[in-house]
Amino acid sequence: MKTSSISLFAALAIALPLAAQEVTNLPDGTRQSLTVDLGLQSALVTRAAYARHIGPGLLYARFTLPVEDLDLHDFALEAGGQIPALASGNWRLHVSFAPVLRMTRNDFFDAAALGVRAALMPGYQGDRWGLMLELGYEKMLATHLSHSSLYRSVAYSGAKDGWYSSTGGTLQAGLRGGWRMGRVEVTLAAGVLASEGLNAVAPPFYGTLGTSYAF
Amino acid sequence: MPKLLAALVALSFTACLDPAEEGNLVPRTAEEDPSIPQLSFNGATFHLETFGDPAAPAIIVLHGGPGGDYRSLLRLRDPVDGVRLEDRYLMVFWDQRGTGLSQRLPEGEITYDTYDRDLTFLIDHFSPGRPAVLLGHSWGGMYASRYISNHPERIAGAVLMESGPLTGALFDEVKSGIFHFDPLSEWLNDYVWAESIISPDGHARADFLRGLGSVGDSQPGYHLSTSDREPFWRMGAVAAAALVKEGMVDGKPAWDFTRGLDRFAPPVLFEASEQNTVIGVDFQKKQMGFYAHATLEVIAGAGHDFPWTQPARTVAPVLSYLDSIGF
Repeated sequence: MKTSSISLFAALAIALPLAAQEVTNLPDGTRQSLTVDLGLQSALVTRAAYARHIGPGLLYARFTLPVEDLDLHDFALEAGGQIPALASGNWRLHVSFAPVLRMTRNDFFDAAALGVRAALMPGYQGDRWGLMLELGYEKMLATHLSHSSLYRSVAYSGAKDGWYSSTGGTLQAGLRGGWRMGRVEVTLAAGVLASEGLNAVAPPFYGTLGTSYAF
Repeated sequence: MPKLLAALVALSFTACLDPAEEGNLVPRTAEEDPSIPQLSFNGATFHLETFGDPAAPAIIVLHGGPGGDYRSLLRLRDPVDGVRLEDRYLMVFWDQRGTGLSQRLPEGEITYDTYDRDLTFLIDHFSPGRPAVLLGHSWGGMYASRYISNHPERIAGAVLMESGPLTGALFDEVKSGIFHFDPLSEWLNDYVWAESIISPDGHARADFLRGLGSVGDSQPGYHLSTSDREPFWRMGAVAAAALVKEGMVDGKPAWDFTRGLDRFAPPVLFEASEQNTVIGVDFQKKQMGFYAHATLEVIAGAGHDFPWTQPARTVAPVLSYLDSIGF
């Protein structure tokens, strides 16, 4: 990664009234939304997402970039859908599912990881505010790894390049709260992370702040 | 989307490499590969090599970490003015329990006590009936001091190469300088982002990730060489975590490896690098105070990795020291 203190997306996060997945009811007639959020999730990241709202559900695409990096060797892209599986008044259980692509380049290896992300979000979704539990699981199903010459020289010359199955998975549990002002929602999310084997990851928590604009 | 998911799942099942399998991301360990020099004792198989006359006085080498291995100490075998340590002594290089190419073990089998018993075995095995000399780098210096504290009668002398903090209190004094935890730092982002792709589940993946964490500029105050990097075979993530955890009480560093060191009669040689601004010369001068008889040698033009980058400057004082104690 090339070090840079502020990315384009961080600047957007500061400049635009946008956020992550909405947790309040959208204004009537909403067909689309744009979100940007900034925070700590595996790394200090910025995320930008576009959602197309279809009936009670939505289709979305989300791009995640570590803040310190602008060289596009490290990013995540997911594109999927979300539906309210259960609804009673303002109480909802949202279910989301998306294929995920994660890329990285570091001193020891290049990786392109393909996986899936699923999440359950039960909670209250009102017109002015909402609060939801978010339970997520991201599983890397297949990862192509290429080890660097540095890794081969200072550590293991016999490291194998190629497609690896099931290199990892991350569990997520937290709360997502939002406050709506017209077409703008401000969202705060925080919780804990662990590997799928329930081992600690660094950092073992996440927190993001963002805004969304519905139109 | 169903076709894409089906393709993903098919790729997952047909991808031929298992990240948990030894030999893919990280090398196999001694109990899995009989070609690796090894010795089994105390219920585990260790990667171990000796150099020199088996009847000569024994020097047991203790590598750093915890969780490192002895690959970066092998230049200590280089000759100084035509003389090698192994020309006069039996040099015992080994990867500590659960690290390097030694067998991987559950966390419960990695304790200060098992480390203590492992070293006792090696001294009895390679130096039967007479005390040995310990030569420890970084964590290895801490390991040596703890052992001397418990078994002074088994030790004829010690070389502590820029030992890590011998007490939790000393660690507290320098902890802010040991690791550079800037959330925008390249090494930290590389590590945590990689962890979202490769989970630290199981020894192979955890060791692989720990290696990645060690290669970045996580310790700028240590002034490690980037043009002549210290090599390693394989980090021991579980071992490192277990030993660090044992030194903590209520999340605070609480170890004390100094009890009784002031009654240890033989002189001890400290070595410190000129460039390390965290646990270099000034810090080692503090640590020398725990011993009754200690001298300091400063390794010019080097950082904490001086046994690798400056082996001649490192070994020359060791040869003189060993002569001086009649070993």
